[in-house]
Amino acid sequence: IFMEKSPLTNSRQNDTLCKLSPFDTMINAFACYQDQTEQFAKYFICFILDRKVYESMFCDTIWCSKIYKTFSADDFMQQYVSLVHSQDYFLHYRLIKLIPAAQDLLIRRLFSEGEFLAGEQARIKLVQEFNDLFDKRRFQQLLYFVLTIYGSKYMPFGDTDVTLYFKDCIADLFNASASDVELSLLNGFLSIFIKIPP
Amino acid sequence: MAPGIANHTSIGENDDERLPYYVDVSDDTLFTFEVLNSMCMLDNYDHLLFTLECQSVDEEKFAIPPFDVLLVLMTLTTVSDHYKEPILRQNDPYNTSRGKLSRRAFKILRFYVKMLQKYDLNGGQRPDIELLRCQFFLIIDSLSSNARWARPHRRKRRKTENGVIYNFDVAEAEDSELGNIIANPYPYVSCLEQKKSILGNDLLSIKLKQPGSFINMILWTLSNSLQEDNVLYIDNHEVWMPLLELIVDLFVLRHDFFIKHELKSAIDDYHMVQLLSESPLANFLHLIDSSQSGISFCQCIFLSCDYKFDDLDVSIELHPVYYGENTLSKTYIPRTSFSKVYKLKRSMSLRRKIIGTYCKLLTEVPTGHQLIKPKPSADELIKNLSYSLAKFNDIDEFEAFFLTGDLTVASYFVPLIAEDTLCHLFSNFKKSIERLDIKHVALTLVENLDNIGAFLYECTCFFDKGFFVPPERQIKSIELVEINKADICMLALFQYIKFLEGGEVIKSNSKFHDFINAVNGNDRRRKRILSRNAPDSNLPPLMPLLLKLLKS
Repeated sequence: IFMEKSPLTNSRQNDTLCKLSPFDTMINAFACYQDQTEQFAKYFICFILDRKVYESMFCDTIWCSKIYKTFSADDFMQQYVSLVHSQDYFLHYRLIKLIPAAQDLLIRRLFSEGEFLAGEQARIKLVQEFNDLFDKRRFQQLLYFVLTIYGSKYMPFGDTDVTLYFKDCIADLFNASASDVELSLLNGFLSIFIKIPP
Repeated sequence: MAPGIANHTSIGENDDERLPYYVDVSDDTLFTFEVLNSMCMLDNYDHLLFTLECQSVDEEKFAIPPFDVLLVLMTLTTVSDHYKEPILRQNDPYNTSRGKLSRRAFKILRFYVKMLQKYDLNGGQRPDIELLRCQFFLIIDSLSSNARWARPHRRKRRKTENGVIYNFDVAEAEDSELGNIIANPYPYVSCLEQKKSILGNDLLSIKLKQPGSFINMILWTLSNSLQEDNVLYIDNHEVWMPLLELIVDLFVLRHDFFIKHELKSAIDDYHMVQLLSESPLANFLHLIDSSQSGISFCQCIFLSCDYKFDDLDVSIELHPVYYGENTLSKTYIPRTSFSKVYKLKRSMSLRRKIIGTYCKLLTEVPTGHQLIKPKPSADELIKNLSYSLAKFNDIDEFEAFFLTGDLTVASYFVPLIAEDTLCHLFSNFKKSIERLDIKHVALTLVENLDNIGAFLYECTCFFDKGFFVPPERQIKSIELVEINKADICMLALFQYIKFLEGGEVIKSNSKFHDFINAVNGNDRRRKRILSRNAPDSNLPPLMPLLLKLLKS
């Protein structure tokens, strides 16, 4: 499956009948291959982004971050973007939930286009993306986009102007009788972000 | 001083009405407590978990949930989708994170507990972590102080295969006194005052305070940890095994705190024993060991293992903790296959963990004294455990008990049990060969764990004289199991000495060569006799196993 471009974004189907092993056996087996293949980062990304693995009891940030630390962060990101489309915020969110340390790097990678991303400039880019998705009414993507960026150094928690702006946008559309479920979820999450101390 | 004033009282300054681990909270924290509580009130568990998840990414800065919210999280852990799928879907229909509420709750709890364990090791000064610890301890104290509620679990005079009777009716609450949960020490309205259940499951503290319910939960977990029935195993794997492990970890943390800060007030040994007998961990173990001899502890801890009790007709009656957890919801398709090896590994490490806490408690008892409850001394405990282990029929279970689990200093009791079990095996074996009545074989292997030369010398003597070499006659399969078990005890001891000293150090000892020759000779003797008298046996020779163990 590695031949295509962004394969994890394009093919989401899975074999629903295969039998699974308990996660803690799998990680032990998995960790054995760590030094044996150059593709290990790739396999690791595919493995943890699998839904069944992601939601299993023992797949947590502690284990994922431990393995993540063994890679060079840039190589890891390189592999990651070759597997996942840059606007696939659904998977981006899953990745940063498992490896919070990768969040800043991921955002930089997605939005910097090579140049260094400074604070104010970054915020403008992120707001642009928000507006873009918002205008195109891609609400599901919007939801995961917002979840992906918050908590990073570019988009801190707390009572910020940007968050208030996001909230206003959504409230406007809400009043204009758009009833997409993602909007009300977003509204809820933004309210939580405001309450979290920066 | 009223809580709410931003001031961190250091440990030890203890007013009479103040709990020893009490930490004052600041107004900001109190605000967080209230916000989290209101989310619980609204049954908005996705938001509750989301808020905590956002703030539990690193250990430097994290949100501290109050005890009532932690209790909600613990209860939420029991609301697994394997039997509560519809109600979970109803509560969180969109499921933004694609995670299950019960698992998310558990992951957060484990994050906190791991942080507390690390903090205890490093011994820093962090008011925020101490406040978190305080919240957990409020729960643990409330659970353990109610041990008096735990009646001796029901035993029935009925013969069953492994001493367990399953009863699938959940016991109805018999007491009206269930309202008293944990007194809220903070000036806000706790959600517990109005909420008694989470998505249909009674709050864990209320549940476990029902008479006999706590012990039933422990036994239900232990028994199902080797369960062949898939549904019951899923229930165990999803809910109870992780949760019980977490609770045991918390009791250990509480105990460490107790030893460090509360036991200091003991004026003499007698007073110390009294304090220890009332400690949270002692209460917890007393719950499992309701008999005064340690025998019922063994029966509980080895529940559902394949061996013969002395009292064959007594069975323990079990029932599910929550209604319906033994049936799958219609939309749940079990896909994970759990191998027997996997089940054994997890089950035995849980059992070892609980035994470890018992040993931990007993090592604090001053010499020459005995706890008021639980009563057995460390020696009696070890003796009872190894007596049961020596009777194990299933070699895989036996092996899993001795050769899995982490070899930290905390498992110092395993070599003791291995040695004592070996003694039992010796006398049984000798009896069956020579019809001699040998009461007890004295071994000094554990004494010599720090002296490799002496250790190897003693082992060499065994093997020279014939270490479990069967007699020249028809060999029963049970005898083969005994031989195998003895080998495993030997391996367990070597595993531990290797942990202490390192494999290379053992191999370079001057006595090692003689030892290897003796073991090889013993293997050859066994092989000769077995090939004549039990040609189908597949008893592995000990030497390769030993070398493999010392190598890795």
